[in-house]
Amino acid sequence: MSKKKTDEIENLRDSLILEVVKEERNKLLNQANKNHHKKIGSIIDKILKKLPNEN
Amino acid sequence: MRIKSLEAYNFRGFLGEHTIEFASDDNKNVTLILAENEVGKSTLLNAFVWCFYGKMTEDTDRKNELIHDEANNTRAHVQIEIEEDGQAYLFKRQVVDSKESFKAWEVDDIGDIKPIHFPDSLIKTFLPPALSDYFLFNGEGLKDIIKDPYALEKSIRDIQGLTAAEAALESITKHKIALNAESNRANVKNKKLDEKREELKDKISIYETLQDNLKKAKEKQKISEEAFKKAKELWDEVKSFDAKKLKNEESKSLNIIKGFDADIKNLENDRRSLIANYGIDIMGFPFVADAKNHLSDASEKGYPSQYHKQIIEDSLEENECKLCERPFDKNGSIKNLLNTKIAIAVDDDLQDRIHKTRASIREVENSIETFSDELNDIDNKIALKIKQKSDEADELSATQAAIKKIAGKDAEVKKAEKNYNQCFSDQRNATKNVGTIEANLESVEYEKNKLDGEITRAEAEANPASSLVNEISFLDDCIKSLEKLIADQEESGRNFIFNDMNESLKRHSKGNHQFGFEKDDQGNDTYNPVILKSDGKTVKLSTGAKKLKKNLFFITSLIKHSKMRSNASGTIQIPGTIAPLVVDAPFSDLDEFNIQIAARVLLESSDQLIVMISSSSFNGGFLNVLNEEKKFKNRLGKVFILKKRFKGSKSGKSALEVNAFGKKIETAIYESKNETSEIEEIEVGR
Repeated sequence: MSKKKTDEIENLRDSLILEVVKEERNKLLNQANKNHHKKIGSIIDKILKKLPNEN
Repeated sequence: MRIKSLEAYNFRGFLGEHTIEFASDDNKNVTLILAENEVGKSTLLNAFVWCFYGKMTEDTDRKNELIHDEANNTRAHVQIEIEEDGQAYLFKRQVVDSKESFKAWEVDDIGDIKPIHFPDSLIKTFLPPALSDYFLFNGEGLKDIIKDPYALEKSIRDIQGLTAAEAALESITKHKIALNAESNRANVKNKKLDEKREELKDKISIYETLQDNLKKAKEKQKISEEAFKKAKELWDEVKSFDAKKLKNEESKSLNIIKGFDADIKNLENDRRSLIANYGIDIMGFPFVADAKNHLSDASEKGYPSQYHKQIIEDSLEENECKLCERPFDKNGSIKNLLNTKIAIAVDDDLQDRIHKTRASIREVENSIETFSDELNDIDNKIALKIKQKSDEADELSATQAAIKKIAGKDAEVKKAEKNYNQCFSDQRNATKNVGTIEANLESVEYEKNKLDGEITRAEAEANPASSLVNEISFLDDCIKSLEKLIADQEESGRNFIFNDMNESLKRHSKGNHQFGFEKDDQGNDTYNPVILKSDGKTVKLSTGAKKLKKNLFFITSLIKHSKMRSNASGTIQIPGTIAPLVVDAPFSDLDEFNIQIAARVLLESSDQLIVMISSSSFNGGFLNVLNEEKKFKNRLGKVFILKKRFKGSKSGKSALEVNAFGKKIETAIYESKNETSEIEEIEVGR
């Protein structure tokens, strides 16, 4: 895998972690609603869509 | 986090509403509450504990008695306003008619409030319940406050801001499990798809074979049709030589002729039997003719006479002709003549016999007429049969002539006929075969198209498993990475706490001891802090003073750690909340030296300190620390005195005074209407 692709995946990974943690943090800080899990699911799906097709 | 105010209403020792506004800004954030024993210090600490967690500190008596027994209603509440990162929150726990509820609100700059749906989880991020004994610190009831090392570990993770990261780990893991399930489903689908593809391949192969077969069958059909055409032509050519048919015709003719002969014979027999039937009549005919002539003659010639016997007899009797009425002569000639004539005269008997004879004659004549008719009829029939027989004989002759003509061509005809029949059957079978193959082909084509459609649909539906595998491996990577981040943060947090505790120990203690974390059954470090000797053995903490130190050092390390990462936004950690310390009489067991250490530790580490203290502890140590460093003294924002009203009289009781800042204030007020604790702010000269 090219370095560019590796970096791209690593960035995606970091952003996924931060996004989900942020959402969980929002939930803890009481901003979340009953669709919390759906929201997290859609965050993950959104990031997964950006994954390069070939690994 | 800073605690801005507390409002207690009918809560335990507080009757009615009591409010304290704490020193909570960046510069002034130490609140001193001077209180002697029995005036309500512990109740005030419990107001915090109850409001945040719905429980009481462990050493509290009558934990269930929440409402002041003199309250004029069945309600009590504690309401605490806090500020975190510029945002104010209001927490309110209340009990109404034994029903408890906990609510929280966000408070904006102009005082409008917005409800928070999960106040417990919010508290957990600010002040984890398992750490409440540290932050809401009861010096008097001091025990080994670590009860459950795992709950402690969890709380330290919470305070390290890793709760969200752990929830994220769980969420991502859940998502991965879902993707795995999807991948499994996709695999099943793909397997089915592969099976269908295989099936389609088979169908295509069958289809192609059938197409090939059809082509061959059509060729065969064409050939057999041509062969049949030729065979038919040949047969048409030779079928006129078909001796079999002619022989059939010959034998048919012979049979017909035989039939005619039999008919003629029968008719001749009938003819013969006419003689038997009519022979007597025919033989008698000449006599009947004579009799007929004779009868005719008699009527003409008077025989039998035209004279009637009766007339003659009457004439003879009367001697007169009865016909002409002339009398007879006397000689009697006529009379004699008449007598001769009488013999031949007609009488009734004769008349009758003549009638019978005539009838017999008519009968014979009729019989002969019938005979003649029947004879004619039979003769006509015989003539017709003879004619028909002759015609058939002619035909027979022609057939026999034809037979004679084709004699010797039998084999050729037979062969052509056989060939014709064979070609006809071949051609018919070939056509049938083509039809069958075409039908099969149509059915296979239908199945093939159906499969093709199914595959197209399944392909559109099927999530390419490879992309799922890619996603799952990515999530795995994320999970590992997140686990490592959490472990690293935890490790570094723990190291920080460990180092800081040892630092404090080194600075404030004379012994050569070290802090460490207790090991669990598996030999792993827990978060349970212990003091270790140089040989690594745990020091048994016998005195409250040592326990106090240990706990104070631990909690101040936690606070410092939170401080350190208070700007951790944008990382996986929730930015550190610097929890305020609410301490109740932390110094009662300590000597002056240790009071000073504890006071220094508390003042150094906390961002906001609410300390409830007796005037003896205050004067004997705490005040010294305040005075020795200006930075500490400047932080002192508010001073309250906790008083208590009693219903009874003072008589015989010693004064309960607070002596601080050069003032003496009596904190027990007697002969009051009600018994209640009270809070009074005092001005402190700087």
